[in-house]
Amino acid sequence: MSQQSELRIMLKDPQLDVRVEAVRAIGRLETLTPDLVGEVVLACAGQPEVREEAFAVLEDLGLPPAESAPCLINLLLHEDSLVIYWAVTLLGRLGKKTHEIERSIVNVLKCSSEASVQERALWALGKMQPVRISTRKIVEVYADSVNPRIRRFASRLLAESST
Amino acid sequence: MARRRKKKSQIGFLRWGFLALVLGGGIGVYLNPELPFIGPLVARLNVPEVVSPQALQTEGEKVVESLSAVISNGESDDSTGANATRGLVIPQTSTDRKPADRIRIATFNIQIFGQSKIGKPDVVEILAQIVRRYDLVAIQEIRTKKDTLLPTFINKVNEAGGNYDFLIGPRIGRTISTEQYAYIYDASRIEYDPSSIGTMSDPNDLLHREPYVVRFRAKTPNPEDGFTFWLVNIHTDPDEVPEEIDALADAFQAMQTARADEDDVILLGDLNADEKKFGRLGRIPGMSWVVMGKVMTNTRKNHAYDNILFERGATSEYLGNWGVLDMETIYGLSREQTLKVSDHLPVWADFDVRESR
Repeated sequence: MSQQSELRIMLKDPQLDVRVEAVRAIGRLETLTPDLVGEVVLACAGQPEVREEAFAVLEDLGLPPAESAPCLINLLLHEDSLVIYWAVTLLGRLGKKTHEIERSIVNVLKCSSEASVQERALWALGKMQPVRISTRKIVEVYADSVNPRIRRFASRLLAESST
Repeated sequence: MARRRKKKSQIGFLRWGFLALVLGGGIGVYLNPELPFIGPLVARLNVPEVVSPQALQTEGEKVVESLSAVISNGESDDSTGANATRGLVIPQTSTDRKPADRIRIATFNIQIFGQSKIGKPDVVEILAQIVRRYDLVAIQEIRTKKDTLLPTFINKVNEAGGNYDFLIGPRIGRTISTEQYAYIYDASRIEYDPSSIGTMSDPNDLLHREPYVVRFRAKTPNPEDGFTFWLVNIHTDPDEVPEEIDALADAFQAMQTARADEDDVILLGDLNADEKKFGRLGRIPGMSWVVMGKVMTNTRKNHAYDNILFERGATSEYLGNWGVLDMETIYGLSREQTLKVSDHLPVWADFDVRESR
């Protein structure tokens, strides 16, 4: 059994310490398989100790493997906003690979009530220029937001997509 | 460095501390050291979660006593350093004590410093030894919901007979996952201005984790001679580095004008950017940084994310010595063991203990 497979099993261990150690060990790996990337994102919905480790791994992960996109798109439908936040972030790091990614992130933007998720969705769309006209129209609504970050990301996206 | 506008306050740090102690919160407004800042960032005062009583110690004799304790702790200082002018990694000279004429300031991202890490005695021992090498350490990435983490850690640091203390900032972040900054300092060598502690305000929400700022002073026999300086502790968001680094340029310049009597501003931390990505921050006239060239600051030695920046013209107290502590070499650890301590390495720089006039 590969190390990554073992770690995936450890992530589902009933003991909290084992799960925490699994995420930490994943953070020490040089590269992650797409499945494991998804597992770490899912760990953000876990107990605080696991979540903190997962956050740190994802923050330092850099560019995820391109093959992780389908898994990350699925995670955009998760009920936990932290899972969505990180799935959006990683998709944003990947940039525009397919229209499906752009569409999925627009859906997150429209459906999420969490400012941090909306901000990340706009940030991610900004990494996918040029966006479709339908996306632009939706983003225009956010350019007048009272939230300075949402307003800034939306305005920047619109400015960049018009040039 | 002495500037026309830089007249050190006649009310010294110790007197501020005394007044605050005697008069309590009512004097707070009076003691507020001109903290509204220019630019998009302004500072707000925040009460530290743990107030250090040692910061109020006043007697020169105590300083001498405590210094003796530090000198006798037998800590080696044989770190892997780097030549500031050439950026080459070279061995530093071994010393067994802290020199009285300089202070060593460090920055260290202790990757997810929380309950899990504090529960590993071997890791904590290494961390304690690292802290003892320095007079003042800016810490990033404290992640815990408990307030006992740093007191526990400081007890461990002081087991060797030191007199370290700490200041810790509020929990900050965009989601429920938050981080804290902290400063750990050798109270026998360093003191802080109790009225200067703050987290910078960020009305335009440019920064993920706003800098934690504190004004410190190196202890000298005559307090008026001690080098005073702001430390600006930062951990940027890796996904928004260009924007955040530019915001730090505003933050740095705001701190330079935060007090009429202080122009020494040292910005340090995990910038998630090497010198090539310093943008507007790097273009501030006279801006210098210690880590440059091919020197790396992470455990895997492929990124230079951590640094110490200051304006060389103003902060002429900088002595030109700096280094990156190679934990693997110094403590004989494997890469795997080192990564259990942190994925970042401490970066340090030496400054004159006396204020340049």
